[in-house]
Amino acid sequence: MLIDWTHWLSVRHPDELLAFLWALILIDSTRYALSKTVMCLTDMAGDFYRWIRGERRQVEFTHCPTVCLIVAGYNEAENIRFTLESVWGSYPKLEIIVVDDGSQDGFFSQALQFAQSHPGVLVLRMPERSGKSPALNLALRYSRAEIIVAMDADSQLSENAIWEIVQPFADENIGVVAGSLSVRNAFTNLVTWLQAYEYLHSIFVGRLLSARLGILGIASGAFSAFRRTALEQTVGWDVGPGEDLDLTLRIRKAGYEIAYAPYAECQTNVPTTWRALIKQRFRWERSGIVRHHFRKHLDFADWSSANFRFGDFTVWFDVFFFNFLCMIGIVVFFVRFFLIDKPVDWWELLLTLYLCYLLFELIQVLAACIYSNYLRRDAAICAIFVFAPIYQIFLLWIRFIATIQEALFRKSFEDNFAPARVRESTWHW
Amino acid sequence: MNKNESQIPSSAWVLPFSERRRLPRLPLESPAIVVPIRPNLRPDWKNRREAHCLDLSATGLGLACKSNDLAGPIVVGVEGSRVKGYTGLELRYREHLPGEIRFGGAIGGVGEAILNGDHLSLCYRYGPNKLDLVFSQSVLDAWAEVGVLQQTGVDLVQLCPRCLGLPTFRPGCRNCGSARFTNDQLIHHFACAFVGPVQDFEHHGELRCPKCRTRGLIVGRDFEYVVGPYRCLDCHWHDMQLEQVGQCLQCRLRFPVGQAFLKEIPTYHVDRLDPLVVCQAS
Repeated sequence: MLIDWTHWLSVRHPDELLAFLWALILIDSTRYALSKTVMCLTDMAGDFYRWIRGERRQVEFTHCPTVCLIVAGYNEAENIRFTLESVWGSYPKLEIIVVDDGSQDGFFSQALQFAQSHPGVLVLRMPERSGKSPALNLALRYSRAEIIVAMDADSQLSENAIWEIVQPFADENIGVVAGSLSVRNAFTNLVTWLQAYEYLHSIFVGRLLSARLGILGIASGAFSAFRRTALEQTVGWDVGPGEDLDLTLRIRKAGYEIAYAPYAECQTNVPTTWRALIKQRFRWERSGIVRHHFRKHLDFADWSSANFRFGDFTVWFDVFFFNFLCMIGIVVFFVRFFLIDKPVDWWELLLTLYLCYLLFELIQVLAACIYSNYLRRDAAICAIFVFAPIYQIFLLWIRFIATIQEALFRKSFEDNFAPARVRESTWHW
Repeated sequence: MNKNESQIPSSAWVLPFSERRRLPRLPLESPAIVVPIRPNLRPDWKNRREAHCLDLSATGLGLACKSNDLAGPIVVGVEGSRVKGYTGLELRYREHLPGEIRFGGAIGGVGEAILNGDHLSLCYRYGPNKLDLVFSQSVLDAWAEVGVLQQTGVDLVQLCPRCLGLPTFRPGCRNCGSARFTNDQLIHHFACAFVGPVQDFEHHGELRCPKCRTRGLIVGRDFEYVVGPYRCLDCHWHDMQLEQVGQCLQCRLRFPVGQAFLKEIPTYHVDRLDPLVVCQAS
């Protein structure tokens, strides 16, 4: 089969291949693979220059504002103690507020038990399940710190994560700092392994690149930090799902910049079955592009608006072009390829496409390994990269269907992420 | 049961001394042990004497032994078929007869104070405001060691960690121990997820969300009430649950209940010789 493919390839004229692969080479690789390569080379050159001059890069934590860590959770009694133990005492000026969103599994008593033996921990409780946003807003009311860090109750922070995430706030323009997410159960099965790889190259390195380009538009709800004044200006979180994306965009709109702390690592568990993964991704995708970028925050692209900023527009345009237009383009390509053109040498073409994609993926793997602090772990995660193109296509179809559902039926407002009484009351953007 | 018996109370100790004196004297032939009491109230076990009872009345006890140079207060343990138990005796007379020395005295004195049931367990001492034993534990342990008292259990009391005074316990602020606290009444507006105090929502006689400016909010449909954490009016500390705080009635120290000084106080039991019951039975 491979011999057939090499024969097929040898008789192709480069123009024919370029006609087939131009989109991948010009658009996808430029945005992801080549830009990461440039970023890596720049950083390596910088490191080399410092090495030549005899300077050593030192990790110094010079900024130490007061921090309030908010942990909101629902039915996370099993995890809350480990979560709190991972953060308590890890930062000198840290207050912790745990919010129980009406749990029924002993979450409140577990948190309270921890608080009684650990000073500086406040436990709050919603009377019944209200969703993540009101729980976070309740905690915000009782926090007194300059920096508010929000994290999920089923996650754990790595060493120095809070130190890392507060350093960018030394710059007064920074309103939000996104933390890095890694997968705790990476090697449970193929599903978690693929997600671990995805997190590594799209969050760990991907957001580093976006932050460098100034187009970072999301700080994950699982672990992110906010300047208090920015939160007060935007009056906290709105109803979810997608409340993390929404808040990040609103803070951007308020004139603040978004930074990324790649080594502020939060370890989280990811879905272990395809079914759970599909459900999670449908939720994310429905509340992503259409709901927030095309409806609620369409004014990012409004040139006539008094608040228009080109930096904000690039955030919006990045999503519009790479997440929406490219998605449509790929779907159209596949439909045309299989239903209209039906080329005779279809498998040779697809194999060429796959290998080309794999080449760019390999570049991203190298980038991830260069920046990694845990090289052995991350190299093991990257070993799955040969399946990455197929996994990406799978996610792309989920995104496509979710986008259609949201555009036509506003499906995100039927998601049980927020309880029914909240979903019915909120504005259906 | 004759008429006189029915009028005799079950214990001699509830009768006045003058009435007890009038009760008949009961001759006895029971072996007894006489334990002198040291000035430090501990038993002088080495100088104990073997004796036997001669008679018993509601007010006193007559004994006889081979030799007797006892002078101070004593505790007498009697063990016979009809009489069994310990009592404290204050020596009143001593009579030297051929072959034996007779002596006797009134029931009471230091010995009876040690054997008093009220003094063998925890009691509140009003003056120093202490919850403690009347006699020190070492004294009672010394009596328990020689078998006069038996340790029956242990009481656990929580005392002030500074002065060991008696505290009072009440809910209070975990940070400063104050009993002055209040609850915030909050509103959670469903539509915009804003959570704020009721006062922030009140606007010209109606409820208006300060975040999204929605007016005419209706409870249940648009919002729900949320009870916020307790807020200490002294130190502004917030907490969802109050802590049991102890406050010493003597030195006024405030302390969390977990820091209270835990004192184990044993309780003792003594088989007391009740002369009236013996007399009644005879």
